[in-house]
Amino acid sequence: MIFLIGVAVSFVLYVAVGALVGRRVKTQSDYFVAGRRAPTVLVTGSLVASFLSTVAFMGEVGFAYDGYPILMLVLTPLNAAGYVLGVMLFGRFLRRSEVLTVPEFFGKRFRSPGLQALAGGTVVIGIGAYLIAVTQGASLLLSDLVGVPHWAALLVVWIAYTSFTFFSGSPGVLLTDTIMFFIFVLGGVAGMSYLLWRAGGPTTAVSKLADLGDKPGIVSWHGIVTGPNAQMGSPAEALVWAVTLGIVWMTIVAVSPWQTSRYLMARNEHVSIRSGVLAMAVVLLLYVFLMLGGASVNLFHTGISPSETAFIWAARHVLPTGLGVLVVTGILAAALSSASTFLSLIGFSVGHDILPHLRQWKPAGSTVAMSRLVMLITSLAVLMVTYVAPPAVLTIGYFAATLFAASWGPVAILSIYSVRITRRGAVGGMAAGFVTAFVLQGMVEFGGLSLPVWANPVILSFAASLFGIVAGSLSEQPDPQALSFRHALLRPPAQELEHVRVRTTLRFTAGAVPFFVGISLLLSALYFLPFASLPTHT
Amino acid sequence: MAAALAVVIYYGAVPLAVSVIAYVLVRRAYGRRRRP
Repeated sequence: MIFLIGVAVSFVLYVAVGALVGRRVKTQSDYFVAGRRAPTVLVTGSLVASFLSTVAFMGEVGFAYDGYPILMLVLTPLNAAGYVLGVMLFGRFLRRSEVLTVPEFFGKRFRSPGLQALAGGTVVIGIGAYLIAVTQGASLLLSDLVGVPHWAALLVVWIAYTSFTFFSGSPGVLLTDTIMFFIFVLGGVAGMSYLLWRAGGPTTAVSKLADLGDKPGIVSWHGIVTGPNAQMGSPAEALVWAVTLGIVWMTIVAVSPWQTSRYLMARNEHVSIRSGVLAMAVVLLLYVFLMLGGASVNLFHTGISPSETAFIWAARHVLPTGLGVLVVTGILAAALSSASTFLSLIGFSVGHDILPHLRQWKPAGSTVAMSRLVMLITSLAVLMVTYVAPPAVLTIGYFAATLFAASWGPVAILSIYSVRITRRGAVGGMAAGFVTAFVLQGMVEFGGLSLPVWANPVILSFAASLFGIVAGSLSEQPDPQALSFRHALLRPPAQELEHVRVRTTLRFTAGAVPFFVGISLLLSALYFLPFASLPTHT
Repeated sequence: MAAALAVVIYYGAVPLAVSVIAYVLVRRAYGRRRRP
């Protein structure tokens, strides 16, 4: 009952905030990019909240519980580094372009409404799949928590995120994302810290985990590679998996629409850069606790099924009630925050990037009202698909990530750094990367196809995208006006050169250095020193 | 044990290196040399 009250109160809070903020939305710029006035805390909160969802708190914590906590920590630094590399190499130029959506950037950069519509289409398919996965995770959690049928939980979750996204657009999403960000970071760090303490502290926890009979090697860097519970065949396979997925997720946080669109809302470029640095720091800190804590749930129960519910099981059976409520509310918050961002992006893309391209479609009446209508229709479609689709939170999440990494990654980076890439090249690269990733990754994830390491779908999709770019660009000359647009993007506006702004940004990046030394020391205290004190190393 | 130590060092070293790169890029992109 107390869990139900906690969740209900948080839902009411989000809807109320959305309603309050929505009353101030007047223009399309307000609705799409929050008037480009967001400060660092809101951009950081939304970056992390849009990224972390049930995929992290259920899927990846479950993966740590299954036997791969340290392997996930091999993946995470590459993933988190994407925030800073992304904002420096792409995000700040995207913001400088002053577009309303990321597909619009591609359309303007290559002077191609068709490319804008194509990019919008990938947003609808890729983020739509991700939204379905996140909605599934949240409704499964709610259904399990309060004992209502799945369809009822799905409806409640859908109403919650649709209502405040539909009404308040980006300003509401920014604010609710940031509230949710604080809830789930606090819940994640406090909840997992408590689990480690209850397990007897880091040294005892690592020692007991090393002795787990049915999960041998759970505390080694590569996780379980032998026995019936092994999901990896060898340490080398585990390393290839972590590095490949690390690069995929690095690309995602660097160029994906649900991350880079946050920079469009930033007050200035320096806010974007500072937010990227902070987001990297928060993700790295949080994952230390999520992964080590996720593995330590084994010390209370080794047979939780599905493993995606490991953290929720711990919240209900191990944590004190208040902390358990905070954790469960936090996990739902992580899901809702991602869902609201995804829904808003799909709605914006349909209304702004795709429909105007089809038959010279022109919105009747207010564009904000039309955007809201499009979002509602889109959301109803997602609700129906989610109802009939089988649950696969982690699988669909990783599938969608690969789609975007391959189709958007090379085109986004080359749109800034190449004068040779042309409209055809961009269309070819985006289409080839998307189709290759969709077919190959789809067959691997859902069709049981097994490929050798060298034929990893991610690598082949990146290669296909690059091939599409080269082949398309060789067949035509770059458009001079497109090159002028790019040239203008490379010149920072005068106000971005103000001494105070630059100095503050430099302090952020310099201050991050001791923080990351501290992160290594923290991981050392929680994992390495206890591991080194074991009598034998697995 | 060496592998475990390597993971711990790597976990801090990757973001540290990226922060240093960002520091250099910010100075180059917005530093005094670029002022009109």
